[in-house]
Amino acid sequence: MIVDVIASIARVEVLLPWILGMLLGVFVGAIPGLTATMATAILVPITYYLPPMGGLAMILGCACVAIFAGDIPATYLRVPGTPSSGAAVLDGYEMTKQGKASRALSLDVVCSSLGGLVGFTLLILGATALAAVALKFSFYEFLWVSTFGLATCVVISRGTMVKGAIAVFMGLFVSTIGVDIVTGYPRFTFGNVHLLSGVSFIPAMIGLFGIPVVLRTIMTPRHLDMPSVAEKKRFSIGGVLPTVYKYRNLVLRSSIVGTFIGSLPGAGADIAAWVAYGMAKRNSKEPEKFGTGIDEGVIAPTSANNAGVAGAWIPALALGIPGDSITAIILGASMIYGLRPGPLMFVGASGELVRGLFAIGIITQLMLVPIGLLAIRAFGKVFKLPNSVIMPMILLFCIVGSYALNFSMFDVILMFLFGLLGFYMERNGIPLPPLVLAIILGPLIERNLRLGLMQTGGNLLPFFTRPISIIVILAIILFLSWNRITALVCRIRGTGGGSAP
Amino acid sequence: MHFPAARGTDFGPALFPRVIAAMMVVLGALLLFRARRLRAGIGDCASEAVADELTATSAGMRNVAVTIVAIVAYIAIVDRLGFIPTTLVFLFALMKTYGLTTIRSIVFSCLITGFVYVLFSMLLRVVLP
Repeated sequence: MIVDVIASIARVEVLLPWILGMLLGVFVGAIPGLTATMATAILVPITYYLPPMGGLAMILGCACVAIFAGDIPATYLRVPGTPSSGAAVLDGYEMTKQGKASRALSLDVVCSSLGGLVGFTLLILGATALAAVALKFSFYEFLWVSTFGLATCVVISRGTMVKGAIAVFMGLFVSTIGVDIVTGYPRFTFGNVHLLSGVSFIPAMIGLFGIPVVLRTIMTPRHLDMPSVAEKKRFSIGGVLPTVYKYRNLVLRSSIVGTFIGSLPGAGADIAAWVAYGMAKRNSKEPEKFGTGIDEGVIAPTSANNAGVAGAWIPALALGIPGDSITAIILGASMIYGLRPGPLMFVGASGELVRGLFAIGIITQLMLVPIGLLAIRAFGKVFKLPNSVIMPMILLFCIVGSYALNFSMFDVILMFLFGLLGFYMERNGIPLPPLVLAIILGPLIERNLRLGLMQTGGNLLPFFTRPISIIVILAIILFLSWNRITALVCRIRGTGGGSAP
Repeated sequence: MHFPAARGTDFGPALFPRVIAAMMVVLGALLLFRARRLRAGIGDCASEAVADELTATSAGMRNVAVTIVAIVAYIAIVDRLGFIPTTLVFLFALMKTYGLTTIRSIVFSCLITGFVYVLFSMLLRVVLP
């Protein structure tokens, strides 16, 4: 079976986009402001012209490398290249100030690779097991699991819960536009033919993630100067291997935590990195040294953020519920290929694609070390291109990318409107991921709810009485009240600790 | 908005939009309530920090305005003028606005236009306007 999988990915139309994707990942990751999510949205229209496996390899290669490459400016400049590198800034930049930038980045690239490997291993085991369970799901369970996805996304996303919930319902509303899936009645189309099949997902995504990035960057014209890095750039992977071996438990623990957090809808690699950093600090014998440029402070977040990328695929493959914005875009796109994400992905023709995805993920992590070293070298050159060139280029890609899908100017207009919406939402602290997740899950939730209701003749009781449903409902309630619970615990601890300072 | 009910049931196309509308009203009210509390000085300071980070300069606002106008203009005229000339003008105008020198703007807009044209039109066989 392994031979078959290797044969299915060792083809020119897979390898070429794969390598291109990884190189693009270096570029996107290393430039602050450009995120892996935005790159995925812009890449999707290009992947339509590739075989599914080639497209998958391109996006996965780009995303995995970008998450590492984001750590490079984080370490050198104290500016995270992607949001996922936020936690890597803390100790990485301190090490740079001490003239140990090469050590930090060498540690970083090895741990990123290991973290990704652990993540993809857990993905292979976890997704297969979860899919086996999900095969027993009916309308009711799918309804609740999708709702659970939206609930976690609301809780975990940045911003207040009310704003997260507003984003969810905005997305659900967008998902109702077009012909009703059960009765065939057109809704909210205002007689526009283009809207009959619903809002085209890809242009909406490109707009939401591409346009705000550009507008935000040009609004605050910031100059990015390379600080003179005093130390000679010498990277010795061999030199850091003993350190990595010494902290092998930390690498493993951070990767597992990262995978788990990545698998929660709405929580991506960025939150995974922060949580792993916090856990490493709490478990350390000398937590006061964190933030002063120590090895553990680099190892924990960088292992976790790459693991988080893999983790996001677990619910995406097994349940059809994306774990982060990147998988959300890919799931939305794969539906156009005629693929139905969910437990049935693992059987039949699409099973080959799933196994290919596993293999591509694992090999990308192994390739990360040489590509990463190349990226560190190329870093200085990447920055020669000023933002005043890159931003118009991204705008052009947004326009051409959304046009290329259906050769339709209407899609470009749609892209632009969603771009303005995304910009407005970001300015007002309304998170974007819940909106995207809701656009994807909306049809799933609505169909399962209505088919379920039709089957029971309007009786809501069966939605609450099945064992798996009860478990998922309890999980939703637990998640939504999580803040309250932690606040309560804090208060109890606070009063308890007050007497013994 | 009125949608016909599905035959024989109460769970037609209108059910889901109605639920959404109801929830939006509730959440909107909650947000309003929160905003009032915030103005009274009780609210969290996290959102203020975000707003602070996003305050724009006047040059920044000009950039945003020019960009939005440029995209609208691009969508409006690309069908009539064709992909290559429209794109050249579009990129040049934006680069100049963002503060690049004239010569560099010309060079980069030609390079990028050529690159995108080759990538999409020749390699991917997209029929560009």
